[in-house]
Amino acid sequence: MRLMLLEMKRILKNPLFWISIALIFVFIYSQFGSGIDISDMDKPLPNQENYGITQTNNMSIIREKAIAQLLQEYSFNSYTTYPYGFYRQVELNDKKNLQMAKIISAISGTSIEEIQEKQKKQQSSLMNGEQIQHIIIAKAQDSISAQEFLDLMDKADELLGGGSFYSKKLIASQFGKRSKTYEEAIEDYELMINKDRVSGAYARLFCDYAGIIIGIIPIFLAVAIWFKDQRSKCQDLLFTRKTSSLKFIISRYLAMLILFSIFLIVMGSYYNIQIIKEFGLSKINPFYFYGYILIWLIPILAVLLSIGTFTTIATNSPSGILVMMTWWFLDVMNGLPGIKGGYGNSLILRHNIVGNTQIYLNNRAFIFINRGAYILFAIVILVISMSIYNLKREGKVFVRGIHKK
Amino acid sequence: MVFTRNKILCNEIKHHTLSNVLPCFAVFLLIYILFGIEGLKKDTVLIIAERFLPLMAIILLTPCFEYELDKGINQVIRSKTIYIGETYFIRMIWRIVLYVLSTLMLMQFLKTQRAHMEFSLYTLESISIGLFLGSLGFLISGISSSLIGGYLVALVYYLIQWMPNLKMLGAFYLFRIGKNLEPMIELNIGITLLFLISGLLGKLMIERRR
Repeated sequence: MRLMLLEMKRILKNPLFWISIALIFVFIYSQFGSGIDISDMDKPLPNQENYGITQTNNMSIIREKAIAQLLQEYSFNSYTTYPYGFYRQVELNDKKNLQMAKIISAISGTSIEEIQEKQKKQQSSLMNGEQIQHIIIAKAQDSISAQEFLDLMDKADELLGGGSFYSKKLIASQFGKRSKTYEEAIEDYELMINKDRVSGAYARLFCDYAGIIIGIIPIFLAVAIWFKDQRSKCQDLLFTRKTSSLKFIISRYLAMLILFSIFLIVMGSYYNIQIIKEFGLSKINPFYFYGYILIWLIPILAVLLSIGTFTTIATNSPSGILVMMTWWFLDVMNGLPGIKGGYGNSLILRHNIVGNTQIYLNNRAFIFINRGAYILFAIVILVISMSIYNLKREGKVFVRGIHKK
Repeated sequence: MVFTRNKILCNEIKHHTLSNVLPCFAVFLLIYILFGIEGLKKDTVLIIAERFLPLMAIILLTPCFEYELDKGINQVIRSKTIYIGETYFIRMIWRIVLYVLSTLMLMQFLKTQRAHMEFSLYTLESISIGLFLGSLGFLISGISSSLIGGYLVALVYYLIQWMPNLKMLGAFYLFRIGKNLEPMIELNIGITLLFLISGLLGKLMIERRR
């Protein structure tokens, strides 16, 4: 405890900590704003122009749109994919092109020769692209079951190298979009009022923005704190202290974790107080903000600080910055398709909307498993860090790296 | 004098090059994983040239002063007849050369793999962006004597470029060709020179005061 408090004092005197806090504050403030937007909680009225977009699981709609897109791309042999969120255009060679034709044939019930003939007609402008699609799609609706359709589209995605909207993960969100009806908008609204108690909806948006920035900025402090031991030449002195590696590493780790968490709680409280003022205590749950910060954001911090600790102890270099930056980058770019409720295996969970409560409720168990897994991962990384630190203290590894003497 | 410079350069190549070039290979690997290398379209080449290759400059230039940041080394440096400024200068130039060569090699490689690009424009743009970011890290790490501080500032400036609201950055928005804006190659190079000179002089003044 005493050691942890000592580390906290050290961190509070470190300019990098305050620069990190300032950057986190500026980012969240610039995205979330100076206050909450209460218009997000306005009750939908009948005959509004727009109630937002929702996702349908109606396979006929998804099938029709997905096949239309696939046929369009097949006819030009030019497919748009987004591996890790980056645009990539794919052209298939003859072998893969034939495999794609087989997939389309299996989906549509049209023979490969017919498809290829119709494509040639389109390319030579003898037949309009829409006419071809209309003919093929009409046949496709009853040719195979929904599961078979999804499996075949997944194969098409694999053929394209992944990242296309034909994958099972993205097909519904991409091709199942449609405008919400008034009844659906009311249902969403009721969920926000009753289930979210207003606070939950805003808390998720806050965690969405905060998650992005705390997924990268604290790594600099984590690396700097450990790196400083080497720079100031006090590493050898620390090795000789009777404090165990466990106590030392955990104290320093918890000091960083607690300080960043305190800041997040303070910032969350600022918005929480605004919600209380606008809606009143009777309509909201003031503890939801803190619950979301604990479950949604703390695991991100835990993993990031553990990676910073491990990489710096193991390599005596700031390579943790590169590692975490790469991870963060891929995570954020990968999360773009599911930005309004994407709960994959990402470290940084996305929910960039006030609402979509049903999506959150449907995936709540998965979110808890995800967060629990990452906490476990952080603990494992810390244990490995302690082992390496112990080996260095015993002189069994060089202090410049993990090579045996 | 020439012998001393050769010795400094040989020392740099022998002891400090590999550890900084290896992370640059990580950037190459990332590019390969994300985009592949064959027949890349213009948009993809621009993303690689403007947004990924400049990371190598941050990796190479920011830690120019790293080896002299250890506590207590100043007295050792002062006891040497070789002026430390010369070492910093040669190291800086060597790393700029490494960065430029790496960028040229990759761009040429992409060109041979049938990438659609305007080779000279994209390469110059990429190099100018990288030097801007790398020199920013160089300046901050020099005057603050903090390697991590140098990385922080350079990478945060780089990440700001990814945000959608590019108008607020004005002429300091870096990824210009990709957004159909006029490239500011001369401005980037000019600021690079300013940062490099300021960083070097700042570092030497701070060391003298110690």
